[in-house]
Amino acid sequence: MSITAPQAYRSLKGLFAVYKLPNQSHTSLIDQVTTQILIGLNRLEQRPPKCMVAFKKLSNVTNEDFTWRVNQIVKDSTSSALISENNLSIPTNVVDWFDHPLVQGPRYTKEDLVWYTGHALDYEASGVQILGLQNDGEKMLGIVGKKKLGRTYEVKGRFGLATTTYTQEGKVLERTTWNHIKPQQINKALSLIQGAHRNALYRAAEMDLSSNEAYTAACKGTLKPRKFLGPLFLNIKLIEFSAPEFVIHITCLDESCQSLRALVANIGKRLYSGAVCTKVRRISDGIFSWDDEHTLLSHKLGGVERVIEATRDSYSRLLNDPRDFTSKRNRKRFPAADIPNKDRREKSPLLIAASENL
Amino acid sequence: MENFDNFDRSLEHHFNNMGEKLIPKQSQSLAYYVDISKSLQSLITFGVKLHKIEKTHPETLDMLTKLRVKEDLRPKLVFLHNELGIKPDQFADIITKCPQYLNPENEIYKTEEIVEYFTSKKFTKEQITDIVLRLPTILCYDVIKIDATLGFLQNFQVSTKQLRFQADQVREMVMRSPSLLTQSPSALHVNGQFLERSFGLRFDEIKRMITTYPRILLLNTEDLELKYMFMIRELDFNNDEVIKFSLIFNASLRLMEHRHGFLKSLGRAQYKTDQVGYLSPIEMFWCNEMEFMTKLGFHNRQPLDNYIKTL
Repeated sequence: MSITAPQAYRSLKGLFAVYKLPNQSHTSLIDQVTTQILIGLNRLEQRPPKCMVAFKKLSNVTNEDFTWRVNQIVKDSTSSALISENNLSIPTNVVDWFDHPLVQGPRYTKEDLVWYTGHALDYEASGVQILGLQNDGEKMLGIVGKKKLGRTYEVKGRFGLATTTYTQEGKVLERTTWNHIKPQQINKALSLIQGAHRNALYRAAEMDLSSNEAYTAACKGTLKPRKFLGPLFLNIKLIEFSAPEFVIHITCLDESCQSLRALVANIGKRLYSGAVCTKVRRISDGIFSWDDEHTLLSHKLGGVERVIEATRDSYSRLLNDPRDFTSKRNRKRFPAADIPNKDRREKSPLLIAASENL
Repeated sequence: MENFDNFDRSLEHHFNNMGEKLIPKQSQSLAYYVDISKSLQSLITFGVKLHKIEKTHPETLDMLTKLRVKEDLRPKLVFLHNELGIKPDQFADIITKCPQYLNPENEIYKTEEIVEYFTSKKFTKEQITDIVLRLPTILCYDVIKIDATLGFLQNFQVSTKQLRFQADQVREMVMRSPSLLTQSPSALHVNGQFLERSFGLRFDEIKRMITTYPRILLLNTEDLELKYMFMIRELDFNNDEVIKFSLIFNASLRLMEHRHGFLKSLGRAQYKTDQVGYLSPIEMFWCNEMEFMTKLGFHNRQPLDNYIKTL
């Protein structure tokens, strides 16, 4: 038994992650995803075409029109006499050509799917992008967005150039040498930046740093500022360094893709040469990472059932996460998942005894 | 009110015509008129997609509501069945793409002219049915324009020279891509000039290119340029190999980049016939994904997806 289209449409809600390819705009990504889902939905079993009520005289009524109701009307002695005497007519169901699928077109269209997005990627950047469907997706994005979970990026750079737009396609400002650079020097520069940003975060957290609360919050990862301080790069690591090209992994808060390219140019400056960013790629966004089987390629989703599985997987991950997404206030906002109803107030023994004795 | 009989008589007309349908005077869709006209109902039983005709050919809607079954619809479908040998299952595609064919102003002798023209150019009957099934708009096309394009194809004019094709070659080109017939000669000339100037091919090479892949005269010049640069830089092709493997221009750039990058990551990207581990590009880029993976020895699409997620 395969799913019917209305069942699939009702279960298409929530969050799921998509892998975006480089050199693609945000609107074209959403168009790609909607067309694939609509093709899948319109291939499933649809609702039958609606019928129309037509009034026929007794002589024109056929065997197919004799439903239970019509039989009752005809068999009653009083009504059958009236019908035959005065040539009155009986209501019957008739095929309605107006609602035929070849006349109306596909049952599901673009307006049936409403999209909400997480932090959006650039035109040139690639990586994991969260998408939310329908009202539930909007609510879940609001909840997940307030808990500022870090995003990790893989950034590739190249020494020897400095440009206006921090990429290879900008106007060249200077060309420099890079033979003097060694990996220990790069690590030193990165740790300096990392330490400065982390200090700014601790100072702005508005908590007594010598208390236990701050320690537990830092362990969980919820020690975040409320104000906007700018892009914060909390963890920068060098992974590969081969001649002028290098690769770093960054975890950050409140960032944009252009700020990462500016970081790369800053690194080049600190090392007495110039640097330029060749690639920005998002590895993980909160809970979703590029490795999962449930992050789908934008041009090859793999069917409607796969999207539904991805949304259900994200539900279970958010519920089982130890970072407390399901506070009592948020449990009401999440749709009915496998949560036992623990919020029922316990009755006092007086009330129980009173209800039993009545 | 004196009598109930008078009251009933006034309502008699209403009760007798309770199933009356109200038709709007103006509308942009055929859905309101389908309950009434038998011709539209018969079109639906054949399988014609009326919602598509509303979008692509809105000027024909007036004509379709006024069709009559016996005088207008029947003779044209009978002509398709008898003269061209088309089955009733295939009427739907033809009418959705060319509803002007049912116009009573387009009489049958015009399509007879087209069929006679093709038979005079020594196309067989099966070839003509094939052309009509793949390109239904030719049923309402002008014979003079088809003659002009076929004449241009046979003496293909490039900047200083006329490339002469033989009659057999022209027929084969038309069978392989019938949409060449609806193009104007100037559009074909533009692509021919592009082949000469930006690809840098000689005249005999252009001739070979068009016979191996005639659809290259229809593609967009911007896409052609990007694909050509990809083939020369990444795949290391000469001009000879570009002509030999010119069927690859059918595939999209994104598909070629992904598959070539995947083969490179495996270390099996070898497209020269002399070397060991030769993979023919046509087998690699002119097939499904599942076929592509089975040719390389995998059972899933997972390895390719995992590679694309690293881009």
